[in-house]
Order: sequence, then C-alpha cells, then structure tokens
Amino acid sequence: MPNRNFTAENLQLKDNIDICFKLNSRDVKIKVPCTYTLLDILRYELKHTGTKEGCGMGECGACTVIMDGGIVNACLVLATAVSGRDIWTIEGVSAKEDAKPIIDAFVAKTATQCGFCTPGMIMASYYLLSKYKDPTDEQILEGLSGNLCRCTGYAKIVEAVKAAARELNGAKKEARDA
Amino acid sequence: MLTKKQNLYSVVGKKVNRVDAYEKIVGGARYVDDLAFEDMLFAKMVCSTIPSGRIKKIDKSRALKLKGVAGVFTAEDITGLNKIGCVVDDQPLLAKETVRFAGEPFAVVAAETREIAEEAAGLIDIEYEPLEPVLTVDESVSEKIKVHPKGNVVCHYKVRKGDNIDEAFNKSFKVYEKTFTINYQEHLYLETQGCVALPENEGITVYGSFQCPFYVQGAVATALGLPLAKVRILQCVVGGGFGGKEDVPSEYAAKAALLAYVLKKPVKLILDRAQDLMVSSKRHPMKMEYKVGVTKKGKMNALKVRVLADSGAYTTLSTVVLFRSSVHFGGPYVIPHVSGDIIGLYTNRVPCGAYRGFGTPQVIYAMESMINIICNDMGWDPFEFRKNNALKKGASSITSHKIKESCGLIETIDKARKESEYDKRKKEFDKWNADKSKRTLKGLGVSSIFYGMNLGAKGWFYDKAGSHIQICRDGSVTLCVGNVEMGQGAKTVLAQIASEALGCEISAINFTNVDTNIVPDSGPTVASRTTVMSGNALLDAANKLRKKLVAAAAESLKIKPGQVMAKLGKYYNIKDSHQFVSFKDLAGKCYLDNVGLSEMGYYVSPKVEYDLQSGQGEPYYVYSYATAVTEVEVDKKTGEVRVNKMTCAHDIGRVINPMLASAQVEGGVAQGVGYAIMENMVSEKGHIKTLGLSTYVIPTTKDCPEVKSVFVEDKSKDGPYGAKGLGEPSLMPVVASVVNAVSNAAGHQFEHVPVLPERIWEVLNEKNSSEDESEVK
Repeated sequence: MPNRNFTAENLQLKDNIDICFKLNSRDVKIKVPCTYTLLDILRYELKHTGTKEGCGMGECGACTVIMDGGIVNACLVLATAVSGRDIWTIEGVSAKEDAKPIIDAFVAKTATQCGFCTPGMIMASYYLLSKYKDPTDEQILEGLSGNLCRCTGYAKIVEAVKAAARELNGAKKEARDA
Repeated sequence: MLTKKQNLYSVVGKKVNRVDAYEKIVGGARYVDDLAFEDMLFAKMVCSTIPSGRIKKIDKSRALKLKGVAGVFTAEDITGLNKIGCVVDDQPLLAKETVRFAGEPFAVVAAETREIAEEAAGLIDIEYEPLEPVLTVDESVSEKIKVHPKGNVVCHYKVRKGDNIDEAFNKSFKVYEKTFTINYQEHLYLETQGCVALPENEGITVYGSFQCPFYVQGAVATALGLPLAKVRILQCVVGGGFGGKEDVPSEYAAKAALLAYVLKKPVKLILDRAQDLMVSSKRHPMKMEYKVGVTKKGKMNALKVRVLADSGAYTTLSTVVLFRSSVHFGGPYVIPHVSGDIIGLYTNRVPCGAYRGFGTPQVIYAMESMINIICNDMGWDPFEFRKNNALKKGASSITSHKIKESCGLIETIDKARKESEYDKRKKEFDKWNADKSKRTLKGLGVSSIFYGMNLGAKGWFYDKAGSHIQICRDGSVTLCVGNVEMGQGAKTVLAQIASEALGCEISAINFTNVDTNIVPDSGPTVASRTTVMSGNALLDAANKLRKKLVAAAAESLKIKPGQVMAKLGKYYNIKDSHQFVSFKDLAGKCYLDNVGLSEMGYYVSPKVEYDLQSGQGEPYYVYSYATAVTEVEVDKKTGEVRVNKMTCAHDIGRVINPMLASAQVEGGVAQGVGYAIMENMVSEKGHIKTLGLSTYVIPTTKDCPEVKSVFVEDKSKDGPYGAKGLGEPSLMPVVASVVNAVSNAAGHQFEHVPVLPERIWEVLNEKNSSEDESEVK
C-alpha cells in the first residue's frame, strides 16, 4: 500500500521508522521497527493491550480496530501504513458515550465468556451500529462474521448488538423529542 | 425438583450478571501477554521438523552469536529433571536423543525481543537420523515399529459385564455392526498458550494462562529441581481452555521458568498460532468398532466395542481421558451384556489429551449412531427407544453402577422431544423431503448422554479443593479458590454460592485469581468439577464465617443465634425482618471484638469403588444427563449442511445461574457443530497441514444454529445447593445429534467425523468411495 508521509526506498529490515498518527483522538509520534504492525505498535510500544492478538494472520478478528472510519485487523496493517491515519482502539471507543449501550448490553446479555475476542467484537459491533442504525439479523451476522469466538456460540453477542441498537435508537429518539 | 416459586434462595438460581464481564468488554482484563516486566526476555521454542528420528547433533553456535540472544537451552541445560509427563514418565521437557513427533521441542531460545528470538530459533542447527514413523492406529497396534521401547500400548481399559457376550448376541433379535472413525479436534482457544516466569525469592513465580496452576507448580519444581514452596503460580485471566490448558501449559511454563531461573531475568513465552496448532494437544482421533444386539421388545441386550485411540507420541493425559471413554462408550443405557476394549496407542503424531468431554464425544458419536441405525431399521421411535433403555434410579450402567440419586435422563428425553416440537417438525420434514423439486433435504437427529462428575475412580486422589474467604472490616469480601475462571463463568457462579452462604450482597465479593501461595492444591480445573468442588470448598469456609457472624448478630439484636437469618447484606431477626444488622456493621463489630473473619475451606469428592480389571463398579459418584435434538438442512447440489436449530435439555442438578447455564450450552453447541461438520485437521505423513484459521475452520456467526436450552433440575445431594456440572455435557451430545440429523436427511449413516460436504455430496450422488474412510486420519 502506498503510504502518505513516508518514503521507504532504502529501508533495511532492521531499520526503525518515525511515524505520526492519531490514536483515540490524540496525536502520537513514535519510532518503531519497520517490520512492526499496527498491532505491535499498540500492544508493545503504546501499552494499549486491550487489542488482542489471536492469530497474527488476519483470520480471527481479535485485533479489530477502526482506521480512518473503517474496521481493519491491526495485525495486517504495517507500520509504514499507519502514518497519517486516524486510529481508534477499544480503549478510546469504550470511553465514548455512544459505546455505552453496547458495553451495557454485552454485560446484561452475558455476551462475553473468556473475553479474549470481546474487545474486537465490541469494535466490530460499534462499527456495525455506526453503519446501520437498525441492522437486520443478516447484517449483524455478516458484520460480525470476521470475529471468531470459541466460547459463546455467538447467540448472546447477537442479542447484545440488537439490544444496543434498540437502546441507541431510543436514546436518539429521546434526544430528538427533547 | 424445586420450582421457581419454591426457590428460597436470594442469589442462587438467579440471572446474575457476570462479575468479570465489564473488564473484559472494555479491554481492561489482563491476559498473560498483556504483562510486561523490566528487562523481560522473550522465548521461542524450536521444534522437530520430522515425525520420528534420532538426534545426532544440535548446534547452538550460530544462534548464540546473534546480538540480543540471552540463551539457548537444550536438554543438557535443565537444572532439575528432564521430564514433563503428567501421569506417566515417558516425555522429556526437551527432546534429547529421540524426537517422536513433528513439533516436539528440543531447544528454547531467550532473547531481548520477540524478533531476535524468532530469528535465533531459525539459526539452531539440528541433524537427525530419520526413522520410519508410525502414523495410524492400525500400524501402531501391529507393533511392527515401536514408538517407545516398552511397546505401543499406552493403556487398555476393559469393561466386562454379563456372563457370555457371544451367547447374548445369539439371543438377540437383531444384531448391528459398524466401524466409525473420527478425526482430531483442536481446542482453538482464542488466546494461544503462554506464560511469564520471574525469578523471585530464590525461587520462581510464573504468571500464565492455565487450567491447572497446581500441575504447573509441580512441573516447574521438577524441571528446576526446586521444592514446591519455592514455586509460586499466579493465574492470569484465561482466554479459553476447553481442556487444552490442562496439562499442556506445564510444558511451556517449565521451559520459561528454566530460562528465567538460570538467566535471572523475567522470561515471556507466548506461542504463535501456527506453533500452538502444531505442538499443543488435540482431541483423540479414534477408530471405533461397535456391535449392538437388540431384543424384539426394543431393549439393547448386548454391546461389544473395540476402540483404538491415537494417543500420539506421549501418554500425557491419555490414561485418564480413555478411562472416561471406557465408562461412557455404552451411553446412558442399561445393557446387561457388555464387552468393551478401549486401547490407547502411541503414534508418531502430536500427543492427544484433554478436550471438553474428555474422550466421550467420540464414543457417544459411535453409540448414538448405532441407535440411529437401529431405530431407522426397525422403525422404532428414537425417543421411546432411548427411554426404554435409559438409566434411571435403581438401574445399573454398563459398569454396573446402580444409580441411587439425581438421574433426570428420562425427563431430558421428554423435554427435548416436546421443546423441539419433534413430532410436528418430523411430519413437515418428511413432506419437504418427498418433494423432489426442493434444493435441500431436511433431517432431525437425537442423542442422549450421561457424564460422570468430577475425576472419578481413576483420579480420586486429585479430587479435592481448597478455598479462602476473608471478610474485611468494611464488609467487603475476598475469595480465592484453586480452580480457575477460563470463561465458563466460575467466578460468577462461585460468587453467587459464597454470597448466598455468607448472606452478603454479591457486589461485596472480590475474587483473587488463583495464587498457589494462598490456597491449597485443588486439583485441575477440568471434568466440569469447579462448581461442585470449589463451590463446596467455599461453602465450608463460608459456613464457618457465618457461624461467627450469626453469633455477632445475635448479640447485637439481643436474640438467640437460632433466630438469626441472613440474606443480601442483612442479618435479620427471623420473627421481625425490620430488626436487622447490616453485613457491613457486623464485619466492623467483629473487627473491634477481635473475631477473626478469615477462613479456609476444603472439600473432597465422594469416594467411589471401581475394579479396573473388570471395568465394574462406581466410576463416578453421580452423573449429569442431557438429550439434544438437531434440525439440519442439506444442500443436494453441494452437500453443504446448515444446522438450523438445536434443542438441548440438560439435567445438571440445581442451576446456579440460568443465564450463564444457557451461555454454556450455546458455546458447547457451537464447538460441537464445528467438530461434526467443519473442523478438519489435515495431517500428512505426520505433519499437520492446517496451521491457521483459514485452513482449520471453526464456526463463525454464520454457522451457528438457533439454540434452545432447557433444564431439568434433579438435584445431587453432594453438590452445592444440589448442583452438578455442565461445562462438558454442553458439548457432548452435539456431534452425535448433528451427525444423526445429517444422516437422516441424506439417508446414509455417516461413518466418519467431520462429515464434510464432499462426502455428503458423494453419498447423495450414489458414488461409492469407501477408501480413506476406514483409517483414522
């Protein structure tokens, strides 16, 4: 992927690179090994450990983050591609007001068990509910199909997303009515 | 059976939210890979690339020259004993002279960064003399090549019931025979195996993702040559276990601990997914020969079974896993004449061990398939047939265990039929299938199971649990038990039990993760035993505390202790609930009165008597039961299966938390559906080829059925508030029920699991391909 603020012509494998990006609305400037992924940067350099590594191959979704408004597997985004991006992780999203209904619903519906997939699941759910106000069952199943969970069988996760959608819509309606 | 109305408890039996949910949801829960320590080194295991061979030479020199490498350890660097076998001493911590499977670790590297460790691992040179590997159970049983000098039989369990099995078959109205095979299943916990070891206090502290911190403690002490008290294990939040973190983490913890102890620095060892898939244990593949005789009246009168299980290169837990197979291979039925041989065999493949169900889902698949064949052939109703043969109070299992209490099997069969609307659906499906223009075929499948609680006769000496409860002077409570939370909801259920017993609010309770310095050895977190074992251990401690609190309350309220009742943070006068003292005030009073509010609890599983020679006796003290009904739809053109719905009726004694119980069932169903029709571990010449999640495919949101779970609460006298276990029973009937549904849709009983679309397509297209079906792959 061509990156924006970075030139990589003579880059060696062991070189460090400087990158700047926005993380949860704050500016980050950091030097990292050029072989690092966004996931490595988050977990090892910035100690944002809420984003999990389940496979490191873009197959499980445990490292789901929001990049420039879309969801990505952080383990597949190379450091060079992070420069200039607007990144949101579970640490940032979980503090946002419009994520509260999702978090509450995941608690109330017991939509987490071992919890390892859960931050990624929350990110995918948050993105899904920002995209669809009132998602259909099909849209929920499709929207979360990139996030593997080995514990729950997904039923309670889907229930939680539906409950959060209802809550969000209700809250918006209340705001409009007021 | 108590109805809702009769539930006198205020916390037990209620839909309490998970106590650990919020931290997990917002990403605050600390898993082992989230820990970092000053000067921490990163370890990487180096593994055999051949399935069998003699090690001629290991050369560390290139790796040691790499900048940032702190150490490269092989067998000769082990300060204690080079052994890791949990039950049998046949496995080295690091291979020394021989490698017995592709993926067997022979060296471990520690370096300043993960990248350097990875690079160094690739610079360790090993020379082998390759040997012919043993790759199938049939090759193994022939003993032409011996995997270990003592021979290839890991264990052989026999069950002999009745006088003469051959005569019994002669008297049968009809006899059915079939051989089934079943592949591996991989746990695929989302968090791979890992730990961090720290040299501390002239000993070692290990943090990690474990199901059995006390196994880890033992393994680390052995490898380092330290007394147990110098080895402290601290449990982290666990990202799923399912049996895969029972004995296996000991292997990694012992290696990390060794590096940390010698190099005097913290060492983190986290397996990457591919290595985890390659080296960690799996569910045993099996070849299962079944022969069942039935009477004219629909009773099973004879059962003969021979199972060959692929134990892999080392025993690990095979001897205990296959013991369970030997108790459960006949299902929850009364059969007067039984002959069973369950044989575990060494091969040059990855060791197999514990996985949710512990050697039972395989044999249940075979047994329930036989019942499906019988019912289809005779035109017998699958529920009535099961009921006609079912265990009930006063009846005896295939091991001649006379059931005395807590047996809700027949109720689960009735409930599953009713709640699944089986009879209505059956008519609809028959009509649907008769219409040849439809693209799909629909099928219904049934299966019933029983599951022996706790560790049973073969593991009774491990079957104990400790607890510690401390009430602080402000009324907040800390609990510590020896079994772990791995996602199943143990903390919540145990907090409910403690809250009920102490009469405090559940919000007052705080959990300390397992710390081997706080609680005594409590055995493993397996066998669906945590609610019963740690629950009872907590009750033991809580009852001691409650006595003190009641005495203090009686003094405060100026009444007799017998008149005090406790509930949800208040100790009342039983005659006047307005007269009360709060839990918090009581705790404060006890503090000032110097009444100690810290107690240990301990519980031992009921003793059972079993004869291993004949396979007769009481293998377990009590059983959970379940019946599942599955609806599937099979695409005639592609052979693809959609599992649309499962109805599961479980007898787990008292349901402590209905919401968490249904969550367990849904999760078990998903894992079982994957096992039945999707998850196909491919192994070629002893090398696992499916080393990622795009090749070893587990169910996603789009593959899981609607699940309806219902409960029968036939309480067990030994369980806390009458509870039994659910963790494993949730998965156990799933495979058999799904395969029966697919078989009924396709009109062919499938002999191999997973039942993949290509096989179904072949059957539907009447192509006969019997090759590869007879061997365990």
